[in-house]
Amino acid sequence: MSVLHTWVGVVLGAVLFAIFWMGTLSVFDREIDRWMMPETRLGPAPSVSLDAAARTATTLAAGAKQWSITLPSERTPTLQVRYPGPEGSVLRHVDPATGVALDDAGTLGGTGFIFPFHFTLHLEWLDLGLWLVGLCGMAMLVLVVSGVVIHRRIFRDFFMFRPDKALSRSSLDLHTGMGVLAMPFHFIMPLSGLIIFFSLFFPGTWHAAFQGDRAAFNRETFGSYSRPRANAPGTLGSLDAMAAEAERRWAGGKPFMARVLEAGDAASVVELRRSYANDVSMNRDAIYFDAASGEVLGRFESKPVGAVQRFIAGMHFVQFDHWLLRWLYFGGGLAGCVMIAAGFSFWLESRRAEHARRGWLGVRVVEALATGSVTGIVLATLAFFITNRALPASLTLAGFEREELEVLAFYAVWLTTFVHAAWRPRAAWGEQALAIAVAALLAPAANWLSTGDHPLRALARGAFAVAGMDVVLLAGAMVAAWAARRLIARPHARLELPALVAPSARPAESEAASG
Amino acid sequence: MQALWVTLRVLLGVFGGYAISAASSAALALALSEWAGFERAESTVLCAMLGFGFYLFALLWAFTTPRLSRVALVLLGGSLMAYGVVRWLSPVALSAPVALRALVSLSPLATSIGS
Repeated sequence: MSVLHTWVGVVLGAVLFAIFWMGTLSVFDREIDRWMMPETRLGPAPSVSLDAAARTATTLAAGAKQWSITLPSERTPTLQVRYPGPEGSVLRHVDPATGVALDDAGTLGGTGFIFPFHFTLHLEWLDLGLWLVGLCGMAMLVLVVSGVVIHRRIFRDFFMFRPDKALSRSSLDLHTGMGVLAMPFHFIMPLSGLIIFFSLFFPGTWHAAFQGDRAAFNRETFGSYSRPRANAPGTLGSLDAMAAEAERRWAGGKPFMARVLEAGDAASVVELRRSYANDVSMNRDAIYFDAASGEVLGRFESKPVGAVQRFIAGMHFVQFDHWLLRWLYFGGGLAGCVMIAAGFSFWLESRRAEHARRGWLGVRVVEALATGSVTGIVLATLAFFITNRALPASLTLAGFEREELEVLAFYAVWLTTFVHAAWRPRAAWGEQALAIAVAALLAPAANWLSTGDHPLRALARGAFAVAGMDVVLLAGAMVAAWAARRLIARPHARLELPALVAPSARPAESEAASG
Repeated sequence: MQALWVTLRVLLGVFGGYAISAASSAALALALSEWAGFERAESTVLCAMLGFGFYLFALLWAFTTPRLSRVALVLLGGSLMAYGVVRWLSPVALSAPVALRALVSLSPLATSIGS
């Protein structure tokens, strides 16, 4: 179990950190959006008339076969209009108070870059990124189980623990501490994440049960309604009336999204989806209306087992309104990141002497990869934020759009951290931690300079997301500075091998023997 | 040489474990919907979720069982048996042309996640 845990950790730790890091940030992806898209830093939305929203949407999505509107929420104060465009799906943010579409933000933001990074690693070809994340999910489950088995003598080890040996054991203690502290989280997150994608990872199951009929599988499991086009012009009735009917049928549940299929056609269908702001479960409840008359055509609700899957998915997605839980998820994610980083640190420090003696490359290779994957990706993320605030509003440079330039900055900095780590082996950890501290101070400064919003002003005008992000960045800068100080000032402090075996009961004698 | 055996165990564990989990999940889903009166969608979701647990167990077992030959026998043999059950229960399901047609079309990503 120990060998299994070590090998899986060392081989996949880098990818696992990326998944954990991006996942932790994704808990606040909408808040990151507010920070990266200043035009969307609106106050709380007035209650929005769906019909007024539909008028804006039909103007924006003129000619599109379908479009959808997502109502404003506490975390996303804009009205979002989505429709297919020539280059893929288009998302427009609309100010709900005026009905005016905001300018294109010129950034992918938290929801467009950071969140998809978490589960696809932005490796889209053949869904390889998804499958790699899936493998890491299974690996994480194996790591948690094997970690518990290794540490099963937790009480006995605790009473044998010697605080005066803390320095050499600090990485291991941090690793097990973070692991034990948030252990249910570290198990449930990968499992729930895998369950979200059950139809991708176990396609054979639905294949067998539905004889390969994918349309039937989607219809019966996730709900969908379709009817043939009439190929005649049609009108759109009152969405507000449909919403009221939906609320009645949902016994008070409110719609959060309206989608119009076959827009403009006489056979157009309006789909209303029920909000999950107050539920853990990310329901797929939908009611389908005839667009012109508002007559109810159909309704979908998950059956019992399907509802369980929606609940488990909801536990992972955290889309419900609950600030305390959201911060706890963030904390759990950070604990996971620290756990992985400390695990690497422990492995490196405990193998360093032996590898050097035997002339093995293992420690050198893992150290370079680990540094780039841990401090490197954090630094790259900060570069992403700083670039977002530094670039002018609309920009095209050398054929790259503004949003592409931000992503380019991310990858360029990330690549540089690997090169840096390979070039300056042991010093790179501390130097990158220092760079993180500096960057984490620059980001709120850039925000202040480019938007005039500093934490106090943001709090005063109710832009809590912006204030929160700046405060977390500043706190992160302090933590990084502390870590840099420890890593740079005493690089040789952890040369002694940790006392893995039961500590000697006679310290005086063993010291005399080695002296 | 040791590296070769370790590599073989990893391949067997990861791919063999997946094969037996996927095949068993499919077989159970078919069995539940055809014999136990489960609705197709319910049976599918249940067995796919259980499949992850089964895979975890298979992985842990594959990496802690001393004899590699036993790992190969159980995982590969079990996969074949489970697949046999699938084909026996439904000659159409998971036959090569059907599976290939599904693989060619894109993954149901958009329908899997959230809204």
